[in-house]
Amino acid sequence: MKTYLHMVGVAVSALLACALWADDTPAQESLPNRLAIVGGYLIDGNEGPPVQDAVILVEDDRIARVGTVADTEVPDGYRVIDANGYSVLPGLHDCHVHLMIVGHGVYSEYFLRYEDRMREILPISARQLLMAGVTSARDLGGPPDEMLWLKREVEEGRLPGPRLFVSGPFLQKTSSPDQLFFRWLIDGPEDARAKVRQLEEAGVDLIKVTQAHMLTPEERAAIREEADRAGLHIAAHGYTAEELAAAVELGASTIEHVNARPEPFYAEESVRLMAVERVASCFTTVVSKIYNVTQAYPERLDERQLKEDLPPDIYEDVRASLRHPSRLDYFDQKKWINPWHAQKLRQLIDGGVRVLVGTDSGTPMNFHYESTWQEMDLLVQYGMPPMQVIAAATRLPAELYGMGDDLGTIEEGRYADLIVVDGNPLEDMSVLDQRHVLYVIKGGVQYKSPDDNEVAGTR
Amino acid sequence: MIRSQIRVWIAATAITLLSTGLEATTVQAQSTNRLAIVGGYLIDGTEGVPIQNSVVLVDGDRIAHVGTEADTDIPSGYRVVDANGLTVMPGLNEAHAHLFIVGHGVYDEYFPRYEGQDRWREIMSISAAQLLRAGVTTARDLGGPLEESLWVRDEINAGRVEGPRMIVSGPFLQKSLPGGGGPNYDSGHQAFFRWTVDGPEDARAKARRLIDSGVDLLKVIQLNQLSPDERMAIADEAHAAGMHMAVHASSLEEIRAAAEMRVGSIEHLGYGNQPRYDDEAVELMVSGGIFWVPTVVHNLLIDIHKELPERLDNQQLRADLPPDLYADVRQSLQWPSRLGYFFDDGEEDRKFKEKVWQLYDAGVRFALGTDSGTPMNFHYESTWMEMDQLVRYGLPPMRVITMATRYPALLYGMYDDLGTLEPGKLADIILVNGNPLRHMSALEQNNVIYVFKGGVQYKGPQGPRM
Repeated sequence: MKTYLHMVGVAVSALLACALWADDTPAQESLPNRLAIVGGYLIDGNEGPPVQDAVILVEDDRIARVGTVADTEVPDGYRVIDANGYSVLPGLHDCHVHLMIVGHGVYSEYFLRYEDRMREILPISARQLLMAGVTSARDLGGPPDEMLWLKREVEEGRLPGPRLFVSGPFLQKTSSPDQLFFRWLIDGPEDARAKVRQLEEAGVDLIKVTQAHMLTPEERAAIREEADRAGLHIAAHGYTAEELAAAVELGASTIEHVNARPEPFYAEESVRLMAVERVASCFTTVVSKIYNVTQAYPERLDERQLKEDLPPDIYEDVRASLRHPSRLDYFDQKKWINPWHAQKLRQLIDGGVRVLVGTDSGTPMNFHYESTWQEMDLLVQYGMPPMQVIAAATRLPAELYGMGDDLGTIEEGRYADLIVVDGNPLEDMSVLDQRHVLYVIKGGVQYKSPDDNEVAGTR
Repeated sequence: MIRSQIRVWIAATAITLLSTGLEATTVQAQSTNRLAIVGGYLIDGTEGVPIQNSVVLVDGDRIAHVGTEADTDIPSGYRVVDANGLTVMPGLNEAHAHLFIVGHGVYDEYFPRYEGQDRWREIMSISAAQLLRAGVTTARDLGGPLEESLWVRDEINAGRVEGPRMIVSGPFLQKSLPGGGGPNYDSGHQAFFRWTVDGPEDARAKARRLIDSGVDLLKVIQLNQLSPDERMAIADEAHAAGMHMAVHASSLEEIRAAAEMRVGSIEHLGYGNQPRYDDEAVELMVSGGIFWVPTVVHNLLIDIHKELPERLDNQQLRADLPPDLYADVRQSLQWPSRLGYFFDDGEEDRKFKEKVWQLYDAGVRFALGTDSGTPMNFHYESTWMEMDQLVRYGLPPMRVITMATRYPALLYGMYDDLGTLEPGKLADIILVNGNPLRHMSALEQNNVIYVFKGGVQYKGPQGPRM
């Protein structure tokens, strides 16, 4: 896969990134980037019983060994992170984010206003995700040049952020004009073919399609063929039986969102189709459940991190746009569907459809710094076993990308993407909240330590 | 306007203060302490709808005003604490703690060892600080050595030790000390905090000795072994001194005795053989206005441990305890499943839930307590875990917060000073990250960002929060 090539850059830039982002990196002359994470409770992403007193040795950007205190000695020259009392997990993977948006409530204002400030906004979103323990993220829709710029900056260690898998623009049939900078309209199979090729050449990791049912069969076939040839997977929206059938016909690997159509259940045939065709569901319940969460706790909109992270004018604008959440058009349809999410999730799971953790983060009131754990928490509340939810945010996405040998679990040879958290996520997902995410390590580089955590620091 | 109100209630509360036995607490707060906690989501302990964009003004050690940003001007000279994005609540109240124990697994080793080393003041100071940093601003210590219990309370009040306001019982009053071969331990090692009474005169004398020493309440156990005369001698002394009593009682006979004694609170869920309380017992608790302190979690710790053995490696335990004590505690917990302390028939959770609901439905008021300090039951996390467990049993989160704030204040007869955030009350306030009505883990200590007690800040960023 072409992402591999980009990943090579990570190792090269590890030292540089150390100097830039981590304060307590080791003396680098003896053994550059040798790291031992010792004594923690290891949930490795494989859904087996957790391992006590785990030892994880990291060499450069990869995991060199996984053992326990009993069977593994930490070699000289390794910097030790004492993980006693903490859980150690693979870095989280959010399968559906939009780094170009930051929670603003009114798109018709936001896009017109900030189209030219994407390179200012994208790094903020990327950093928020990473500090929340998200070491990989799939960005499903943004302006292509800017998204690819960000991906490169992150890969080369100039900006802190998750590993990014980006689609660039949506491909679709119609759009409001203010969103055309990230929505490309398809007009005929030749146009579809050309646009996929253009994206491939630009360097995207996948193709994002909405309105698959509005495309002609020929257009769908053209997208599918070109994406197949280029080795790109497809993410598509789909809710009704018709839309889902079109998305599957398109060759989508993932179907996005549960939130958009007022139907209490999925059509049985849709579930069967997704299971048979091994199409995963990127469920994104939090996109609209965040409405209820905010109704119950409006204070979350005053979270000071939002204010600290955004430039003052954007903060003021975002905050003002959320003054009256109940009036936001964005939630008009969605909020009435929220009560059905649990039963739709059960349908998918019972039907054998894989569910992935994705959040659509960046959408109104859905902030990058907390959406991932909130989604995971909601999935548990709906009845999905916590261990499966963790797999859905770690191992399954990596397998989806065909990168299971590099990402998604804590095993020898994988990239050293891992987080150390204070608490037991199997008992309570809210310990994946960023204040409990004490260490974030991506490609062997430590991006966050308890010293960076205001709260842990006050202990 | 506000300022003139402040003067009025200062005068008014000064009088009530003198009679509540809290004088020592308030002395240290400087009269220049003026604090405005601005912009938070206020859960004030009264179970009303939370208030957005709240303003809490603190003058000296008391709350001067509670309002919103829209209706309250912050007078000049107030230090502003920006509470935006945080929930503002009354400090938590832990109604059943034991400061002289810190989670050690084997009492027969622990008590002789540290009694012999005369370590109680050192240990109690550590426990007190752990509680306070976890957001617990008031704690009731239900059983410890007399002199040391009073010492830690008074040192805290004098500002020399960091900790919650302490309400202490000193030693248990009881009938006998079961010897070795008893269920879990040899109580002979525990005589230094368990006073046995022999006859009504002795009971009266010992109760009076405790009262004269300055305890805040009496803790009485083994009600079924004590004779009616002995029980009532203790009760008479407590009532004459205006003091409440906390007792162990689970059988009908014991609860009858407790009702006759007019106790303040009954501790623990009982020992689990019978799944439900006798109806008459429940009726006695309701009609007697007796509070119940269920202490669920300490019984479940063996299960919680199985799910996350890593919790025993908590780095805070190591950081807080002196190295020898830490090593000893940690070693004592090497094999939790072998600890005699835990009775694990796999049925506790179900039975506890049933009892909790039985008493809750009947209208018994709960006070939130945890028995913290017992094996594997650490002061720095027991309170929120207990609250979380009650919510998992299905009790409404807002009521569970009341159990940890307003109800205990009522139980102690200190409602004029504690338990809610209202003008005139002591400024015992915590600011937490998140919404405890959705996730009780918002009260886990990492999420407890600020702790104020009597207007004094004990935790949180100093200076303005930018």
